[in-house]
Amino acid sequence: MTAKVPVVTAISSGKGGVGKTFVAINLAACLAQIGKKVLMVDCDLGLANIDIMLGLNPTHTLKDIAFGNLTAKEVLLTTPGGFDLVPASSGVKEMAQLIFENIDRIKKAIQEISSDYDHIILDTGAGISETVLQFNLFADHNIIVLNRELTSLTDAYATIKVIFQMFGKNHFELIINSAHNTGEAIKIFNHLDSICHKFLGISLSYLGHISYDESVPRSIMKQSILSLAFPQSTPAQNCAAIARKMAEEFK
Amino acid sequence: MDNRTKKGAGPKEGLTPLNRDEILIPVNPSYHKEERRKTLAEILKGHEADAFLFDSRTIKKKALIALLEDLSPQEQEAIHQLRPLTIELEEDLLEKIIELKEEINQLQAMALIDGLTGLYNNRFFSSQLEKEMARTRRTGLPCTLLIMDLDNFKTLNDTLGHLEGNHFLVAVAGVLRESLRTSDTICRFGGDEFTVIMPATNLYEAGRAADRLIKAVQVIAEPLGLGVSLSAGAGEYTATSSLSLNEFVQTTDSALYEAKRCGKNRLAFSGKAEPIPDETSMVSVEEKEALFALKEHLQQKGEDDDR
Repeated sequence: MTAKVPVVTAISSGKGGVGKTFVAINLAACLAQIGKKVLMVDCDLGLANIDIMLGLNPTHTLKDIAFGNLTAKEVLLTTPGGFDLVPASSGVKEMAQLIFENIDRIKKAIQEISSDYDHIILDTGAGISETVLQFNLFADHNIIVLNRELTSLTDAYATIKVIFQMFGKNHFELIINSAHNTGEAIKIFNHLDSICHKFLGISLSYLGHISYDESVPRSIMKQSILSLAFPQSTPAQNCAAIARKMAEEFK
Repeated sequence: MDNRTKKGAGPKEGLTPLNRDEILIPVNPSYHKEERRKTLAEILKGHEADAFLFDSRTIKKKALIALLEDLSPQEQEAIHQLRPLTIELEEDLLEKIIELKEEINQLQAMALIDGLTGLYNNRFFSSQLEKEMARTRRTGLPCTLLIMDLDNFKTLNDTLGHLEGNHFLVAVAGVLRESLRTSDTICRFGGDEFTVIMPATNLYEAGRAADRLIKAVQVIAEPLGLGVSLSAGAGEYTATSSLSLNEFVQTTDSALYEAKRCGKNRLAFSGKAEPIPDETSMVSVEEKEALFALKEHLQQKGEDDDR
């Protein structure tokens, strides 16, 4: 068996409440469904909630890795979505802000187990904290999730701008969440793309959109994964399409 | 008359004009002392000219601003030939004055500028930081301070010698100048320690700048393979801060110590563990305007949908 070199993807949004974690979970599940080994790391240190969204009750979390108490393997959980998860500790105030030393430990712990996976998905926190930026720097691919709100658009732009200016990363993949239809999603994408082109001189990539219907709140209420609970729903189909694209294009 | 003929045996006393090549110029009809002086007085009357005269005995140079009058064309020509010589003298003087002026400037600057790197020195640093802190209290805009130190610089000095060490310090100074804004004051604090005062800059922005510097130093240090890198401490002074200048420097310095303690080649902050970016400073007014134009696009789309 040869060691795998996984694709590390950071999923960020800038603004909270645009469905970033929802998108991350469903993409991880869809990638698992098409046979990929996926590790998801909940880097949302201030308000971790992947475990809650999945109805899990972890005993150990990312905090144990950050402070050097446990290895990533010891913290890992297997989820109903068929992917592994390093959960974060929700509501632990001290975790919201990590110093570089802690972030370094997390990165190293992830690298230690990386050869077991095809895809590592980092669900970063809301906002543009140093922690969020550091995980984005660590990633090979940077996905930005936004919805049709102007505040989300502005924060997505700010996130792109900071990562670009700070680390020189100039390749961002966009997912438009809760879009009414493809046309609207592309309109939002084109708008942000043209602004990034004009002010930053970079072009964005359109990864896809996820439309909104009743299946979304229903799956969340049930603490289940949309792609498993309602695989035939339009949003689940959208997620599957994006996951296929990731599997093909993210190397 | 051939004015290029050297007349070595002149009168023992008297004034003898020479041209550029120090060849005697016959400006006087007679070489008799009395008459010659008289003629000179006449010569030097009514015309604006500089005469460059030699006392034949003492060979003492004297510059005279004189007036010339009633000269034969030949004599006038001779006097004109004096001019380049006198201009040369003036230029010499001017040069000397400029030289002295530069020396004075240099002496003044040496008190403020680091001789090796050309950066400001710590004397200037203190006075500038004091000014910026006062500006912060007046304007309400924070100023930040970076204190940086090269890691394992001693290894470089010990391995490659102090000359190479100095070359590296100059290279680091260049990197700092290139990577920072002109409004930032960059100082060499002595040894391998550098400081930067960043006016109207918050801790987050300063952190980003420090990250850039650390990476830039990595680039120039890597080929040496001696583990030389840059550690930085960042501190912020706000209008509500009660820190004194010394306390501000001390807290920032302790952040540098923290960066060193955590493994070097990194940045640490004093005060806030992790500075939060000021969102307004990240997205400009123009960018916001452009972003908000989406609203109209989407409304248009909504109308399309209704149809």
